[in-house]
Amino acid sequence: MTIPLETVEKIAKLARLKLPKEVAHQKKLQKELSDILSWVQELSTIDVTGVEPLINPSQLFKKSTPTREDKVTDGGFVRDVVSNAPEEAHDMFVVPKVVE
Amino acid sequence: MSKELLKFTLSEAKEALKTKQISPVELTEAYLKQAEDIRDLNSYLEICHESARESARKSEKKYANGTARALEGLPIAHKDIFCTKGIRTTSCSRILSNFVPPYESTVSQKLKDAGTVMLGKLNMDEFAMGSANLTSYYKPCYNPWGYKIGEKHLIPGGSSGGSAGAVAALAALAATGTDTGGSIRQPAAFCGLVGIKPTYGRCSRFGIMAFASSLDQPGPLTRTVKDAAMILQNIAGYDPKESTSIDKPVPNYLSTLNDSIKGKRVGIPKEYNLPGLDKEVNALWKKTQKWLEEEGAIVEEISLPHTAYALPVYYIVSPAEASSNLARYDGVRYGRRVEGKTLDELYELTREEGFGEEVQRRILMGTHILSAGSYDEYYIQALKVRRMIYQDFEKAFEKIDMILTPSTTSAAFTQEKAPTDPLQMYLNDIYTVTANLAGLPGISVPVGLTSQGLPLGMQLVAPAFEESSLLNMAQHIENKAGFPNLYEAGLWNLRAN
Repeated sequence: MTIPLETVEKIAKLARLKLPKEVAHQKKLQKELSDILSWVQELSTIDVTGVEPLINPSQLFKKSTPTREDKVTDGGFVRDVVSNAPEEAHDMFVVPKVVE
Repeated sequence: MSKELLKFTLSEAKEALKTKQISPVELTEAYLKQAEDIRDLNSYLEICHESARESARKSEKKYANGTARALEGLPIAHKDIFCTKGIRTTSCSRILSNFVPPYESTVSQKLKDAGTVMLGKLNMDEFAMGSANLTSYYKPCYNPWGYKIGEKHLIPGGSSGGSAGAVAALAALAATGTDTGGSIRQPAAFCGLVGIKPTYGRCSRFGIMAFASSLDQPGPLTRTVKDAAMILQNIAGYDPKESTSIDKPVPNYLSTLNDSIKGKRVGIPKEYNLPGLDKEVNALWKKTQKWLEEEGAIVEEISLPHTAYALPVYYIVSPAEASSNLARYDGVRYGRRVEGKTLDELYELTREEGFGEEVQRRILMGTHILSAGSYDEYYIQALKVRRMIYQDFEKAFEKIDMILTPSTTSAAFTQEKAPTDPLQMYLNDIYTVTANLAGLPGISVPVGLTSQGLPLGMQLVAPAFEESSLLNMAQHIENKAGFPNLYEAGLWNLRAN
């Protein structure tokens, strides 16, 4: 199974990753992704009738993972929150202009 | 003299401190010196001299005035995936190379509150994606056992490679790690250490950089089973800050460590006897079964029929979750930024520069799996098979108490011999991923050396929340195995080898 190069480009766009410029490098990536996908393909042969997906093991331990009340427990850390920002102004994150 | 202090294990050091044979300050100085002396291994990314000395002085006072806490004055180190307040934390990714967390992870906070001295931050695979510590932005790190056989580029395993290398080279009494598909147990096995991956939710993931949230679980790497029990005792427990954290009392792990295992039933899954299994590993597997029988356990063959599907399931679920988790690294709120003309260009350039090859590959794979058209075919199908893998264990545990398997199919390999094909590298996790998929606790215990002189480990897997039984049986294996004492083996002395 081979994923078309256009599909690789499409998923790279979705993932906001710039693909390598060299075609050889792109082809290598295409091959690696195709190989992995072919390998995991064998799962499609398994009969899963009546089986529910297991998304997270905590589904198995329901009684032991309580949810807490939905209320604010802290706050007032604006300086901490923006302390690692590449660019900030007036306690806010700065990005390139998005509205014309 | 200072090197002699390295001979104490965590539990022995605690006794020596308590009885005032040694002081926290001299112990910390010995470890800081050792961390410097093993620079060639590249285990440490950063050594925190000043803060370590300050904690040691504080511990000194606590011992003097009789208020010493559970792990007072014991020098340890953290995998660089644990956020440490005010100390740079990078997950060994370029994208986080300037990140200084404004908060502390629950696990590192608990260890701080227990009185440990934090020596520094440890190397790892980038965002924990790897099995040989070769994907770190800060260069690979190495396994001190390699120096004993003339291979300076022996890999320590991964992703907690720096943790394993540092503890094995006696440059920390214990280290934290995280295990998503074997990242504690495999490096522990490769470096002759004990490594435990607790039940999913037993230890809080708060403040640990997420790779695959339904699989990630923190745990310790230590020299002995008792040391592992001591660390686990202090990091396990409910954390309201983490939605999958388990609200169950934490038993006293030390009190049952030496209980008899007479009559305990140990299952040997026939599906784990793979054609590619190394002969020496297989022989030690059999030997371990014999040891357990000598201790009164009943060993029997069992079947976990969906084992062969575990790796494919893992390589669907983990990249899917990773692609979602790593979407947060966008060059806007933290981490490195590469400027672009538009916001989209900024994202793309930032992520292209910031992520390494393996991480990008997994993000692409995960994005594809979660995209419309592939979601049901791959993701949902994998999650259903995941439940079948869990059900295999559930059924097995109706008749047996514990499962015994090798931790890895072979001993550690050198950087030069490491597979370059990603698929081949993925096969490293073959014995360990099943426990992550099913949320079960697993431990790797060193059992012997290959003819070449490299460590091998055996894995025990127990039902959920049975860490006590796991540690108890592991203790019996440790007693029987008589694995070399790391200090006497001279692992700390890289120059002598």
